[in-house]
Amino acid sequence: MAEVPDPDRGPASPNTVFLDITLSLLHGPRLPVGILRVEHDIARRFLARPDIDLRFVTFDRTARAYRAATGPETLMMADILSGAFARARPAATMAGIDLLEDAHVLRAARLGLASAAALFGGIRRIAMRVSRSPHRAVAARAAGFAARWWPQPAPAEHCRPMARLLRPVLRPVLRLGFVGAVRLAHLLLIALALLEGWLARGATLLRHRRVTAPPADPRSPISQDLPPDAVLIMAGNPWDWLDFDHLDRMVRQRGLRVIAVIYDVIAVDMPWVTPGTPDIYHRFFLEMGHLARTIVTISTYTADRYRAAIAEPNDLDPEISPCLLPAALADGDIGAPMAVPMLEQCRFVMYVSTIESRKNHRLLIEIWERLRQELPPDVLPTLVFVGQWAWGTSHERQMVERNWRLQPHLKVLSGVGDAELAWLYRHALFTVFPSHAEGFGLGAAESLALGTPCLISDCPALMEATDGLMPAIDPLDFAAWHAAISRLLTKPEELAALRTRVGRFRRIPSDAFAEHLARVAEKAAA
Amino acid sequence: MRRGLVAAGWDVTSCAMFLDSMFPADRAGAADLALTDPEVAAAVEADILFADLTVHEAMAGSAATLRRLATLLENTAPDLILLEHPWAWLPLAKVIGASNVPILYDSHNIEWRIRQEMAQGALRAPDAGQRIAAVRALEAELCSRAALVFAISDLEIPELAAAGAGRVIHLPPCSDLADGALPPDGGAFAAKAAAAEVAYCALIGSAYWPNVSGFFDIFPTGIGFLTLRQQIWVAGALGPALQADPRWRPFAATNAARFQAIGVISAEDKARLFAGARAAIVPVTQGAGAKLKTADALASARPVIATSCALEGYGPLLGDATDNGVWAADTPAVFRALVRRGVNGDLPSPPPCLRQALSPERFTRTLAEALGSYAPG
Repeated sequence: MAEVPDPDRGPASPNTVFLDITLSLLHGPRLPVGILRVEHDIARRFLARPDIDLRFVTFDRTARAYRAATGPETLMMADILSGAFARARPAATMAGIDLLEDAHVLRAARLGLASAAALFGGIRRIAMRVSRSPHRAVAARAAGFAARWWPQPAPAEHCRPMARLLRPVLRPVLRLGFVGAVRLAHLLLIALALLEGWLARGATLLRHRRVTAPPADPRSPISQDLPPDAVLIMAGNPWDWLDFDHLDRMVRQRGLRVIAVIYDVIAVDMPWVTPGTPDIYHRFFLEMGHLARTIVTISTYTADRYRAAIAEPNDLDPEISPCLLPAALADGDIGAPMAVPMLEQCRFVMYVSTIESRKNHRLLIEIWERLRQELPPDVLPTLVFVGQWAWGTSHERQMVERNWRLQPHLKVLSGVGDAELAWLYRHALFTVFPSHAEGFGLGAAESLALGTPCLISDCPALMEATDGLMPAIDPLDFAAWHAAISRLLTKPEELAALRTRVGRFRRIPSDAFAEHLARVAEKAAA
Repeated sequence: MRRGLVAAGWDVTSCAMFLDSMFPADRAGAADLALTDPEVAAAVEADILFADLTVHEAMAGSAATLRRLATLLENTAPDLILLEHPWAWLPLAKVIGASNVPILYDSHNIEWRIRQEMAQGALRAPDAGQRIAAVRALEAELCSRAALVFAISDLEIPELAAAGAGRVIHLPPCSDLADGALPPDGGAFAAKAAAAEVAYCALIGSAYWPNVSGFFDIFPTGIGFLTLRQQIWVAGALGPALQADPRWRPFAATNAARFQAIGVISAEDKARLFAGARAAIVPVTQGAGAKLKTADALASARPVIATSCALEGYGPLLGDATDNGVWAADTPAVFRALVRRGVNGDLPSPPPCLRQALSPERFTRTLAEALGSYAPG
């Protein structure tokens, strides 16, 4: 279990660093993506450092101020960091694939072909899914089942007098008994799942002894949770919830030293590609320019864009410290890559990214449709999109759903875990990244870090992320993309040459970003 | 002008000429002449740039209007006629005939030039040449006929003279703020600013579109250059007009945190708003003549940051105040830098003589001296 917070813990030592975990808490047990991965990486690595005393804070939207994370929040963060959620619900990582796999296991079991391990795995996943179903819903379905499928009684005239007498009483009792038994079994299943979760969490906490709960002190006034001259790292893009007035007061009156991680300023450069109104993003970037001691950007390109789009027009000159994000997937930390059964026998090309208009999935779908008409089916690989569907993609969804001819060659995988993602990167023929704009392009860097070449768009951040090693094509140039992909599919020697070039990629050490932030934090605290 | 004339001892009868659909009837004076003509209203709507010319051309062609104007002149038997704009000359010329009543023209700007700028600029009316020529001819005719022309801006005196004006006197606007003592503090405005821990620059303006455009010309990327404790407070209808403008939207959240729309306020509150401010700003980039809002800012006794356009017409009055209480800035970067200095309290206020130069008393004195020779008897 997590270390119990010590209410008598003294004032923060000079190397105390506060991390804003509001986004992690909001996101909860869902699989982390993008920014959350960075926030988790910072938390994990800082907790493991003996020279940093990391404490979690969250922005309380009701009080409109930062406060220390409470005990339950800290425990939740510990769960998130230890991967307990992911372990407790493996089926959630690739729901579609697991369902197919489970169905296959059940069929195989009926035919007596399933191995004991596969059978156990399938049953476990089904049990996990059932354990996550709401209890009332399970009870309601059991009652419905009983009402529909309970054997119809024989006509009354065929019954004995005693049966006729007991029937009105016995039938409801038996039905209630059945429903009750199902409910009991479901509760038992939930308890087992919880127990497994606790055990997994306990084991993880034992392994990562530094993943401890920062002190939660609900007695203190909210604004007192950040002591004078505290160093606060904000890596969660808090444009939606942060009260900048509070932050401003903290900076001016309590000497708070803010370190803000800025991933991109695309919302200002291309305001039409963001889900919210662009002004909230502009304000966040700008206030950071006023309030942050240091702005850490995830690429030199983002630093340049920040200066051009935010700092210069507002006569700001904040300290900007760029540091490329590491490709953590290439690390041993995530464990062994986990195969994705659906693609094990497939040749596939992959694009790892949230599915939104800026990412230019449309271009790839159109190219694949063209290639489908040009190449024999056995030559055309499957195009795999790994990412969540997001805003502004109704047309892309329609293209995916209605093009039944292309469906065998186009897969969308959402909710892919790290281990599966690592496997996908390693087994893809090559990856593609035709995005219109990026702040870094982690997907491209990860691809190269795992040895797979990536065709990228010519947006500067992607070229920076891939060390300038990969072919960069205008994201609006259909013909050039089509030609480049065709060549890689039909000329193995070109693909091989590209793979050779990947060998020159200088992978960013997995702890580089956290190390960089630690140095920035140390400097800020000095 | 009316108050100045009265203060100078003149008995004034005002007569406004307007299209009835453009002004509320309940605000019309007894001697005002209103034109009711749907066709003219439609024509005005179709070409707002020349609305005044169109309306007064129609009035000059309206026998009823001319009859009422002639009756008015006959009943009042004026010792002099002062035109506040050139348009009224169109109907007046038809009824005044060879009368010896002196005509005075109070020029607020060179009308044809400002229309030419608007046609080429924001209003995009490249085919307006003929109408502009008509305005120019009208102004020239009036200047030639007028016994005296008042120029609101010193910069326009040569042009008015070239148009045929025989005698031109510079009569810059005055400000009520320059009348008497200013409030000792900002009152409720200062209290509000102190409570929010902010310092602010004051801006007062109407929703007139050049005011709106001027703000966005000077602050094209918002006002994020200010900290959260540095703000711009805007009085008058300009504040809501800015917030409703599409140019505001990309920076709405940033601007809103540094901006307060005070709304329309009384003359007393205007003085208090300035008294609580660290500086007054006048970001105007269009328009001719001399702007009344600049007069208010200059009379506020606060440091003034304005564009050259805003300061046009006040040249002789500024004297030593230039760069010593009054700063001209025509680029966003320079303007921003001055606003920051102003709101930080790093700019000195202009010398007191500037307020005196803008006082209604000085205005009346100038007016009285100019009109002395036209007084009856």
